[in-house]
Amino acid sequence: MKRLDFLIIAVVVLLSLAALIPALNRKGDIVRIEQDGKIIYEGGIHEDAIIEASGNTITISGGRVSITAADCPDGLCMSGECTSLHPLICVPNKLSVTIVSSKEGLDGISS
Amino acid sequence: MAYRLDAKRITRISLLLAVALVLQYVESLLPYPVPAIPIHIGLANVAVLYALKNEGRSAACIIGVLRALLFALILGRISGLLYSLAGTSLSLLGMCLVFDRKQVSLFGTSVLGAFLFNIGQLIAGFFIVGSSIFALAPWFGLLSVPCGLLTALAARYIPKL
Repeated sequence: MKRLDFLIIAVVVLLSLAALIPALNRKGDIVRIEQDGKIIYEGGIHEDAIIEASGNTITISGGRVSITAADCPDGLCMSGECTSLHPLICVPNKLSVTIVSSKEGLDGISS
Repeated sequence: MAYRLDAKRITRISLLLAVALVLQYVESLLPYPVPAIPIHIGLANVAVLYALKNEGRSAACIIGVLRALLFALILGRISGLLYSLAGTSLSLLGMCLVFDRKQVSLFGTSVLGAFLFNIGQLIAGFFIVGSSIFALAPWFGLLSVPCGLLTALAARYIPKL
């Protein structure tokens, strides 16, 4: 391991941590579900709901969000839970489930 | 000794390409090391790093790009090709630029390669699912360090063909 190696690793780690900062500031109480770039659902994280997007089912209950059904070939989006620090993404269905802060301005709730 | 793309070299490059493809295939069968974060360790890069060290930059690039193309054909998932090539080309570019410098070892090159590969994936992902993919960025970045170090470790201690 040489000198510049450490610099490379340090830069990578710093950039990653910097990317984490906007996420840490979020209170994380609105669940936003986007499909194909369009927002198809936005609702409070404490409002229990089951949302059917084309090809995926997202369940919000007890303050937790997860994808409970998916018809995509890899089914990777179903492992793990969505938190304010990381979204759930289903690439084949172009779906993304993120938790955002209500301070970002909610014009209305669509479902 | 001049660099010559002779039969011996071509054979070695082909073998490395085959190894890379097998490694990638095996890795694709395994679950992600960190659940819910779509990052693999990048075992196929062991072959690319080995090539970089022992066969030269052009060999490494040939192996890298062909691996991406052929793997998409093998799996039949052409849709993943955009991601693959985005990550691979950025990664190879960075690795080739950095590798020759005296202050960089295989470990730094590998971490840089892993990091750039993930950045490429994020960018390709942005065009498909939108800006929410960048929420995965810190994890992609942080994981590229251990993955890069692991692949470099493997490549470093393989004896020459």
